[in-house]
Parts: sequence; C-alpha cells; structure tokens
Amino acid sequence: MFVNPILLVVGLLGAAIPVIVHFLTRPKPQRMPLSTIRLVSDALHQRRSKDRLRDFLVLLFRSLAVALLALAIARPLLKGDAAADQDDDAERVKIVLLDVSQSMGAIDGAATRFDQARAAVAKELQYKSGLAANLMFAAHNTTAVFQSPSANFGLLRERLADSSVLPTGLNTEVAFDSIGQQLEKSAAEAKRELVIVSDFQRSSWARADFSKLPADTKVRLVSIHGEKTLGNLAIQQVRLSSAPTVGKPVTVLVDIANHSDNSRNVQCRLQLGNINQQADVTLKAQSESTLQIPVDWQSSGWQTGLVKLADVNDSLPADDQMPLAFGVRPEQRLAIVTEARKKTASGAFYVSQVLQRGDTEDGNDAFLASVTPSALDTPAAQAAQVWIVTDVEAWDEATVKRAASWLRRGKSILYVARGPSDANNLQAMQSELGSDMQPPVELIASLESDRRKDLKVQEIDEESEPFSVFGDSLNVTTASWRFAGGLPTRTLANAGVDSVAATLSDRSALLFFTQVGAGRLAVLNADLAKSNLAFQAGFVPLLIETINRLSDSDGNATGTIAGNSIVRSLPADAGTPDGLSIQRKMQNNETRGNDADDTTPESGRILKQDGMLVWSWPTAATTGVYQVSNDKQQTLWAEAVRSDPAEQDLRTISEEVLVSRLSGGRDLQFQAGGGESAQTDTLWIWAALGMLGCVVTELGTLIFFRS
Amino acid sequence: MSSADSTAATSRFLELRQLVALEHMRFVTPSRVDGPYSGRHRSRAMGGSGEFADYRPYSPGDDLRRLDWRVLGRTGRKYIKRFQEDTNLACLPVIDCSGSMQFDGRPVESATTGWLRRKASELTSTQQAPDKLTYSQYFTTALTHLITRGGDQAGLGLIGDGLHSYHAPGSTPTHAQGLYEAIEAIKPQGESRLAEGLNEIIGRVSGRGVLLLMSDFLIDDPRELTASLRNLRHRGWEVVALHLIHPAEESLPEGVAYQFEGLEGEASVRCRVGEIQELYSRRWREHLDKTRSIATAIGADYRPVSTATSYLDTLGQFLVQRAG
Repeated sequence: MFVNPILLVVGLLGAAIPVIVHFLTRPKPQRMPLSTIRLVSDALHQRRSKDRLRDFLVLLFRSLAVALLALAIARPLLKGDAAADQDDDAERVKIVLLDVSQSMGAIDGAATRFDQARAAVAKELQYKSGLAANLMFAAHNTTAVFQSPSANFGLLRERLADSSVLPTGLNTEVAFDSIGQQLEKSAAEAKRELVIVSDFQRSSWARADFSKLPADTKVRLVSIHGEKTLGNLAIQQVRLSSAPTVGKPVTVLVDIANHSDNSRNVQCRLQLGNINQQADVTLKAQSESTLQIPVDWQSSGWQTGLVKLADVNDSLPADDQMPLAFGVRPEQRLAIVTEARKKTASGAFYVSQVLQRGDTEDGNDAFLASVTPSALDTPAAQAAQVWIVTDVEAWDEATVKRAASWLRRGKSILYVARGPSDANNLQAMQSELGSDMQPPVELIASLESDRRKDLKVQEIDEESEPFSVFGDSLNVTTASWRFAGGLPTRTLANAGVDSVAATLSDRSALLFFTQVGAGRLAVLNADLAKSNLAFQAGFVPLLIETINRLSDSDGNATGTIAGNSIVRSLPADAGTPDGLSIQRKMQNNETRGNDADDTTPESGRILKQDGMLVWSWPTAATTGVYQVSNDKQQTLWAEAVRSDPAEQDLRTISEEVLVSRLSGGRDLQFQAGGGESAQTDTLWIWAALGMLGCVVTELGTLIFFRS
Repeated sequence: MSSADSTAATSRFLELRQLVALEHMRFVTPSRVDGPYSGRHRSRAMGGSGEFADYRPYSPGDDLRRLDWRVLGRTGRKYIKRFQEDTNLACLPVIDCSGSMQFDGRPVESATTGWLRRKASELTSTQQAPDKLTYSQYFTTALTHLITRGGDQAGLGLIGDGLHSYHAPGSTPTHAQGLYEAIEAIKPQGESRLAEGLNEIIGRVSGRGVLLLMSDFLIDDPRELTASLRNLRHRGWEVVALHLIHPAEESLPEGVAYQFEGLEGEASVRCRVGEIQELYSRRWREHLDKTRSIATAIGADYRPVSTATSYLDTLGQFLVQRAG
C-alpha cells in the first residue's frame, strides 16, 4: 500500500535513468593503431575487473538511490491491507467502527484526529470482490449506516464524509453489542473482520471488553494518535455553593483541569445574564483547580449563560466552555400546614417560633404563612416552596390528592408525623403517587405512639444535611435529645436511593427524605409537643437545614452530560403541549445557521403524563442551553447540556494494554493509521536515509577506486 | 633526407653528406673475431705473420719455426714467439619487419574527423619522430655503408613472422648496393617471430661476427628469443640488441577514449586512456626491464634507442662507445 503509488512507478522508471545515462554518455573513441596493444590489453585486463566492479557498484547504488527516493515519495504503508488482499474471492464481511466521541475532535498536528480517522476509514471502504462492509459511528450510542453489511461502498463513503464528532463519550459496551448484532447478520461461512478506528482514549477504552465480540472475528485496531500526548485544558464542572436565591450571594465554583505537561495561566469568564465576570488561575501540569466567582442575583427566574476559558490554544476547543442554566428562586417562603390552634404548645407553635421573622398579629408574614389542610390552593400556600405539615388530623381524599399533586410538581413537604393519622395520610399519599413515591421506610399506623417516649437518637447520617451542620459537636448536641410520640417504622425492601437521616433507639426512623416527582418529602417521626427537641439547642439548625435540603431541589447548575436522557416535569401552569416550544439558545460564538433550527426533533418532545407536562429527550446529542417556553415566551425550564468530561483527558491507552489485557483472547492487530501517517508510519524516512546512504556509498566507491 | 648522387651506391636511406662526419670511425668489437680475410680486426687465431704479441715456454710438438733462436743462444732457454693475426669483421644487422615496427604514433584520421579533433591530434602526436622501421632502415643503411667502406663485411637479415630475407656478409660495393636495395624494399607485415627468424639465421651463418638486432622486442614469448640469442652466443657471435622505442609508446596519448588497433593482427580494444595510463606506464617499464634483462643475461650489448633521436647521433654515439 502506498500513499502515492503513481510516483512509485515513475520513480522506478527513473531508476533506469542512471544506467541509460551511463551508456549514452560513453565517449566516442578515436581510432589509433598502436604497437604496444599487448600492454594495453594487459593493463585493461587487470583494470577491467576493477572497472566492472566499480561500474556495477556505482550503477547499483545510483539506481538504488533513485528507487529509494521514489519509494520515499510514494510513502509506503508498512502494514497495508494485507489481510484484505488474501483470499480475494472468499466472501468476507468487514465492519468498520469509527469513533466519533468528542476526543476525536482534538487537533493533532495539522488536522483533527477525526479527519485523520476519516482518511483511514476511507481506505478501508474500498470495493473488493466478495466483500460486504458496514460503517458504524460509535459514541454514547452506536449507529450503523446499513441495517446489515452491504457492498454499497459509495454510500458508505458518502456517509463517512457527512459524519462529524459528537460531544458525547464513547460507550464501548454499546458499540460491541451493536457490532455483534451486525456480525450475526452476516453469512456463517463468511470471514469476519472488524476494523476499529479510534484514538483509543484511555478513559473510554480502559473498560473495553473484546471478549464480547464473536470469537472468529479478526479485529484490527487502527490507532489515530501521534507519539506525544496532546495537552488539553478543560472545564470539568460548574457548581454553585448553595441554591441560587434572590438576594443571597452565591459562589460559582468552576472546576478546571489541566491535562497537559506544562503549567498554564487560565483566564475564566463567566457570562450569565447581566453578570459578566472573570477570574484568573495558574494551573500546574496535570492538575485540577477550582475557581470561585461570587455572584448575586437581583431577580428570580431562569438564568442561562456560559463559562469559558479565554484565549486558550489547546488541542480540544470543545471543552473550553460550558453552558449554564439554573433557576434562581425568589426569596424563600414557607407555609405551616396545621390544624392546631395558635398559641398552644403544639408542634406548629414551636416551628413557627423558629421560622417566624416578623411579629404580626395573625402569625402570618411574607416569609411564613400558616394555612389549614383545606386551604392548600390558596395563594399563601402556593407562594411557599416548603410546607411544614404538623398537627393535622386524617385528611380527606381531596386533600391527599391535592397534596400529592403539589408534591409531584415540585413542592417540598416536611411532614411531622406524630400519630396514626399521619401514618394514614402518608400511606394515602403514597397510594396516590404510586411509583413516584418510594420512601425508604414505612410508618406503621398503630396505637403505640402514646407509649413511645424517652427515645434517643441511635444512628445519624452525619455526612449529609441536616446533621452535617453540627460537625464535631453532633454527638454532644444530640445526646440530650429525647423523643416521644411518632410511629414505629418498617424498612421497605425496595427502598431507593432515598436516605434515612437518623434513627431512634427503638430502630424506628426519626428523619428520612424521599424524592417525589419533582418535589421532596421529609418525614420527622416524632411529636414535637411531647419531645424535648423544641427546647434543645440543636432544634433551630436542625429545622433550618432540613428545610434547606428540601428547598434545594430547584435549579440544575450541573446540567446534563451530552448523550444522557433528559426527563423534566414542567410546572403545573405550563399550559398545553401545543403552546410550548423547545429552543436552543445560541452561544456567543455561534452563528445561526440553517441546520440550527430551534424547534427540531433533536431537542426532544413535550409529553403529557399523568396530567403533567414532561419534557422528554432520550439522547441529548448537542451541547448548549435548551429552553422550554410557552406561547408568552416565558421560560418554563432551562437545561444546559454539556460535553462529556470523561473525554477531556486525551491520554491514550497503550498498544500493550489493548492487545494483552483487554483482548479477551481475541486476535488483535494494532496498527498506526490516519491521514497524517508520517507520525507513525516512518518507512519513508528509512527510505530517504537509505537513499542518502546510497549516494554516500557511491561517492565512497568512486573515491576508493580512483585511489 | 636526400640520397647521395655522387656515388654509385644509391638509396633513399643513404645520406652520404650527413655520413661524412662519421666516415673516419670504424665499427669495432672488443672481442676477437674470426673473419675469412685479413683485416683490421684482431683474429682469434695466433698466426706467424702478424704483429709480435708474446713469448711462451716451448712445449714439445711446437713448430720449431716459431722458436726464438736468439734467446736460446743467449740464455739456453727455449721460448716460442707468438704473433697476433688480424682479420676482417662480419657484421650482420637483423631488422625486425613486423607490423609493430611501423608505429608512428598518429591516430587514424577519417574523412569525417572534425577540425578540432585533427588539431588536437596534431598537437598530441610526437613531432617528427619517424616510425621504428624507417629509423632502422636509415640506421642500417648508414652502418652498412661505414662497415663496407672500412673493408669489413656486412650482411642483412629481415625477420617478420619468420626469416624473410637473408644476405650473407660481404664487403664489395655490389654487395653493399644489394643490401641497400633490400633495406629499401622492406614491407612491414605480420607478427613478430624473432626467435624463429634467428634460428634460421643460425642455420645459415658460418664463422663468427657481430649480430646487430634492431627490434622493438614486442613479442609473445621472450623465452624463445632468449634461447635463440643464447645459441648465437654459443656459436661465438656477439649480439648487439638495439631496442627501438617510439616516444609515443612510452605513454598513451592524451584524450578521453581511444579504440586501439593492433598492428600485428591483434583485436582492437576500447578504453578510456585516463583509467589505464598509470597501469600502462608500469607495464611499459616492465617491458623495458624484461628486454634489458634478457639481453644482459646472454651477455649481449643492450642499447635502447629512441626514434626521437637522430639516427646519425645514435650511430655516432654507438660507434664511439664501441671503440671504447
């Protein structure tokens, strides 16, 4: 295989030129009679053997030099398509898997790795008799051009030319499953060959398991990467120090990684609505750092923008910026849902004493409202993000449905369970919510609540809120807590990721959290009026932090990694699916093109499920900020889709690891490839050196024989 | 060179005016000769009428006519008187008539040869150096003239691929004229077989004398020549070897490439002169050394003669050196 086979032919013809020149330039002899011709003959006889040897060597080295020069220009590929050249008439199936993950967009030399990979794939997709091929693009998902291998190489190359890099990672498991399905469709007697063209990025291929491939498949790995590891700067993640709230300062934490061997100065810019700030940081080689950019919001609503690294000239520009989208809450509002009378020593009283900011007559202020269970639809209850339900009796069906509906739509509830009626209420809500509510424990509605007293805290999840706020003083603080009332609990077998924050000495749960639809539910299993908690020093921070944990469900600062699915419940007042649109917001450095149509199937669909509107996008394939808006151009939801951080480290996996440890017993051939084959295919350099060697040897031969 | 028209003897190679200076010189030989007639050369025999040479004690059987009676009368001792006989010299010049003797160092000029090449050829060729055969013809003619004029005998042998012609030594003007004509009529041809020619001459000659061999000694097998010359020496002949050398033979001509053609039927060879010049010079020196060693091995008088030197100078020098 040669890059320039025509030049090889020309060069080999050129190798005959020295021989032709040698004979054409022989001087025309002058005739002369000579008496001493015997002596001349003797001299020639001795000389000719030397001359012939000299002429032979000179012509040999000269012709060899020209041939090697032609060879060097023709750029031979040492490991050519030798396998394909064998058994030309045999039926063969070739699957070419092209890695289109984000790391393939890295600039390696004069071209991107993807461009080099396409050149390598194009060489594989050449028509041969008896050969059927298919081209597969592997990223988060793997797609094939044809349902089964075909001989339509023209279309394969056309699709190859149209392909592009995706911002997602590479899922080798999915890819190998797809390859297996493709190979199964081929004839049983056909020879199967798999060609994988990839940069073999370490983060993607370290878990690859080639043993999943059919055993009789010959696997050839065409590596598209140079000798040196490419340096890359990337934004790994953007976090917020706390839930964004109007008037509350928040620190934007930008995690930046330097995947290069040099120390770099980085300027990071945050563009978020009207906020435009920047910060500098110096990153050492192969290190990570977190930039802190303080921001303050003046208004609530969805904030979109981006964080980007300015003036960074690295190998992979795609991860130098990250889209941002999160909702800024209005100032926190709470509502106590209770049937207890005011000014009595009830749980509601103690809670209101902790949370109340103003000293109003009716106990209601802008921050804290007090409503009855029948008044959940009132504006006072609607304005609150968190309901604290305490001292309520058994709810009727309408109240349960209402509470469950609001819970599913994003309202958070702290339910203080003091007796059997509370257990029934929670059970009714669970029945209403179905699979949306899967608490870790179940309250048992029994009459034992009156007998529960002097219960101590047994186990505490001190790592997470609310108990993490106590720090080292947790044990001291909770040692004096004595609980009474509440209900015995039973751990459920199918408990999800929801956590039990604390348990009591009778093995019952004291406090647990569970996700319910878009909202959260926390259950405090105690009667505050009978417990001494309300009089303990830890009550205020416990209550505040519990409410904070419940209210942190809003906002989505981290966004969604490209390639994953997006399922978001839209607010209850979203309207109908017909009036909603999904738009991709243009970034600063993007231009609006024909392909970048805003409302396309690429950004998912609005579905109606269980009376709620849901934005569903199975595979978020394109990075950026997506906004769901209604016909009044009000943003109902904003989502930032960011590139896969696993693709940022461009280090590649070594040939030895691939062939020996990951092969799973398969016959793997590792081969350097790509359009810029100069980086790995060095045969032409040896040919050029050989040419120089021939020239030098020829000169040496001439000098030697002259002397 | 113009022929002398004032004498009866004529030859285009006989330049009497130039030979006037040499006519007082004689061709002599340091060894004693065995001529048929009385002459100026010392004979090998001790006769009774020549010049007194020596005494020796009487031995029984000696001719009593040679007894010195006066010494016997005065001293009572018997001595025999010895007298040196004088005789004439027989010289036999032998000319190599092979093709190589006509080499004159000039390339073949074809009709299509350009002016530049002709000019170059003229510049590179040795000026006015005659070919070896012509040189030997002039030399032999002059030497024959001097020998016969001195009363000695001169003969002639012509050897090419064998003995072409043989003239027994004689001293009469008629004989000399015959020799001149024979010399003038020499046609060089064939390869050189000196040994065969000399063997034939050995079968024809009688007595003793001097054999003057003029050749370029470009022969295939020098051992046969050595044997022939040694045979001659055993028969009492003195051998003088005149090794004729054309200046163009000492080194190959200047130029890039030549096609050399043999003068004795050898196949032509093509070569680049520059590549073998040094090797050729070495071979040439080896040829000279070998020829000299052959001559000196048999006790011959070896003299290399360049045709660039005037034959008169060569002859005068030759005669002077012979005279001692």
